[in-house]
Amino acid sequence: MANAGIHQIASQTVPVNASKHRTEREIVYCRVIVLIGSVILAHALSWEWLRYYTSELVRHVVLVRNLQLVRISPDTLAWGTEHFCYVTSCTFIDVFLGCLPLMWDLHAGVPRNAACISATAIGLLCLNITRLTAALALYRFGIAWWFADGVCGGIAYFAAWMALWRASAFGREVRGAFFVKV
Amino acid sequence: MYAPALAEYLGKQLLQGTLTVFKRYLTIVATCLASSLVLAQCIPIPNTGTLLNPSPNAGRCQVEADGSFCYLAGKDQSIPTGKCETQGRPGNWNCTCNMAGQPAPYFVLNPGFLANDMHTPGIMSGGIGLLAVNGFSGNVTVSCLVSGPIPAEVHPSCTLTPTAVTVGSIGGFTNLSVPIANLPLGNYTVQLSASSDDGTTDLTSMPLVISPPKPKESGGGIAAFLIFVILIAAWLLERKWRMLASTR
Repeated sequence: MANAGIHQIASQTVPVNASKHRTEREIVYCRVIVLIGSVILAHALSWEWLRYYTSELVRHVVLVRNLQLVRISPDTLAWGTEHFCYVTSCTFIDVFLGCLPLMWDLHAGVPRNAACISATAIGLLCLNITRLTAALALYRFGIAWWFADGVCGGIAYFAAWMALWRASAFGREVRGAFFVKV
Repeated sequence: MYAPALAEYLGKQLLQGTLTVFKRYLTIVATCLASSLVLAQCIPIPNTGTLLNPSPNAGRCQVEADGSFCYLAGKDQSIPTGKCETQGRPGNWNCTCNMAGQPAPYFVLNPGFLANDMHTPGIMSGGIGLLAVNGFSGNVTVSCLVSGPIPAEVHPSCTLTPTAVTVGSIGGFTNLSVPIANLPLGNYTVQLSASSDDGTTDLTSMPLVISPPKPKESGGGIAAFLIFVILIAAWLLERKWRMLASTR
C-alpha cells in the first residue's frame, strides 16, 4: 500500500519515463562506484595462486605450438634467456571483479545471476589465455613485447567491454538511461 | 679577579700550540705522501716514444735487478728499436722507455662489449678487433678462456670464429661467443690471448656479467589501455554516425 502511494505521488509530479530514467541513471552511477572499488580490491591482493595457474595454463597451451616455456618461479616463465612475469593484470581478475557489479541483474534471482557469473568467468578465462598466448606468438615472430602484449591486451579488454555492453544489465540500463530521449 | 684573564690567556696559548703542532704534522704527512708518489712512479713507466695505440702490456719499461728492459708485444724491444733510459741506482731504478729507430710492428687485441645475441637466446657475443700497429701483418692465432664467478671457479666454454686471423694493414676481426643459458649468475672474466707466427703476443681480458634478466610483465600496461581507449572511441563514433544516419 505504501509503495503504491509513493508511485502515485511520483507519477503526479514527474512523467513516468523521466522517473524511470533517473532511477536507471542512479543505478548506473552506483554500479560504476562499486566497479572502481572492485578493481582497486583486485589490485590490492596478490592473487599468487591465480597467477600460478594462469601461467601454468599458458605454458601448457603454448607447448602445443612447440614453444618451450620453463617455469623458474611460481609466477615467472622463461623462454631462453627471456623471462615472462605474470602479474595480477595477467589473470584478468580485475576485469572479472569489475564485471560483477555491472552484470548483476537486479530483476533476476540469485541462481540466474550465479549462472551468468559462472559463464562470464569461463568466457574471460578463455579470452585471457587466448590473448596471452597470442602475445607470446607475436613476440616469437619478432614483434616488440610491449606492442604485442599491448595490442592483444587492448583488443581483449575491448571484446570484454562489448560482451558486457550487449549482454549485461548494465548495458541495458545505460542504453535506457543515456541513449533514449525522454 | 685575575683568574678569568689567566684562563683566557692559557686557553689561547693551548690553541695556538695545538695548531702549530697540527701544521707541522700536516707538512710531514704531505712530504711523505709526495715522496711515496714520486717513488711509486719507478715501476713501471709507460713508454714516451712514438708508439701507436699501445695496449696495457706494450712498450712497458720493465725494471730488473741488473737494469731495465723495454718490452713490447711480449718481446724485449730494447735493441735495436727500443731504448730504456735508466736513472737512479740498483734497487731504486727510475726508467723511461723511449722507442728509437725503426718502430717495431705489433698488434693489439681490442675487445668490444659482450651482449645478448638477438638471434640466438642464451648466447652472449661480441666482436674482437686486432689492430695492426706500425705496419704489422701476419697470421695471428687467438684463444679464449672464461673463468669465474668467485669463489666457485668454473671455466665455461667460449668460441672464437675464426681462431686464425690474418691481420693486414687494416687489422683483423674475430667473433667471440659464450653460451650462458646454463651458467650461474655472477661476474666472469674472459681472457683473450693471441700470438703471431713471429712470436708477437698480446693478452687482454674483458668482463662478462650474467645478471638476472628483467622479466617482461604480461597484462597489457599503458599500450593495452591506449589501444582499448582508441577502440572505444572508434566504437562511440560509429554509434553516433549510425544514430545521425537513422535520424536523416
